[in-house]
Amino acid sequence: MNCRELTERVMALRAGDLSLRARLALRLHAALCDCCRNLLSTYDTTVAVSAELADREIPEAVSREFEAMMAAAMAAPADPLPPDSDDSGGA
Amino acid sequence: MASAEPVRYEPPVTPDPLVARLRERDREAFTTLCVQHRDRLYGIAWSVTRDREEARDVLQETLTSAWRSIHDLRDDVALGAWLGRIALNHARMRLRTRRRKPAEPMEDIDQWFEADGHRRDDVSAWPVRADDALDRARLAKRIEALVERLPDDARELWALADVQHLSMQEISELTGLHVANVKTRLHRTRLQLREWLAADLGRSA
Repeated sequence: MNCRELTERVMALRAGDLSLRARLALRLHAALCDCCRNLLSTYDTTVAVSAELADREIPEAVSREFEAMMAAAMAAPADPLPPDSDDSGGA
Repeated sequence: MASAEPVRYEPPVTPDPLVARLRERDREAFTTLCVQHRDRLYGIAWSVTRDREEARDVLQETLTSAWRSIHDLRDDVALGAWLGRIALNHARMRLRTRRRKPAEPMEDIDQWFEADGHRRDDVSAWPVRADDALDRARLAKRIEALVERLPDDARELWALADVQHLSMQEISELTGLHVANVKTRLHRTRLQLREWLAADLGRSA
């Protein structure tokens, strides 16, 4: 295990996608490497702080207006989607 | 904000009974569908555009596009994913039109490492406390500015995964990318953001 391998596997580690053996190797390297310990903590901080940029609530104005938005949508005639939205819901 | 039911993205095992009614352009069925998915659609629109006005417009465009094409729905449609893709396409179009300056290329990961895989430069701890609300708010502001430097596709994955908290499977359904590809690209994006953030904090320390 080296710094590059650890860097490439941080997300898999955090997602629980690694085997026990791989996790142990990664943790052992991190225990001995300041750079990688710092990388792990700053990576986690980057992800955690990003989550705080969510708009947790749909704005009240949009919520109030939603019925009118649906009515406006249903006033539109039937027409295929534009070419770059060319799916009709198939898997 | 309460959705009527959790949003489903996986293809249904049996056809959704709502689909037949939707194909007939049943207004009540369409209303049920829209109410059920309202918050998720707004979330996709907002996290990608990061602008409330534009997110509202994307939501309207999504409903209109959905209604216009609803007679074409297939039996095996996963309604949540179908609507989500429409919202994402409209959000992408908005982003393309308003992009002010070109994105910066993502750094090649090779440049961070020596040939033997060891880190070339020092990775320092950050002069911030992750458990301090003010520090986190300061970091959040910096991240918000830094994501504008990302290429659109990377920014979009970051928005859907790390801001909107969609699962890898949901993002795969929305973007058409394989789950493994979503993970790889998202990881590269997080690493890039971390690097830029580290440089940014180093400059202002």
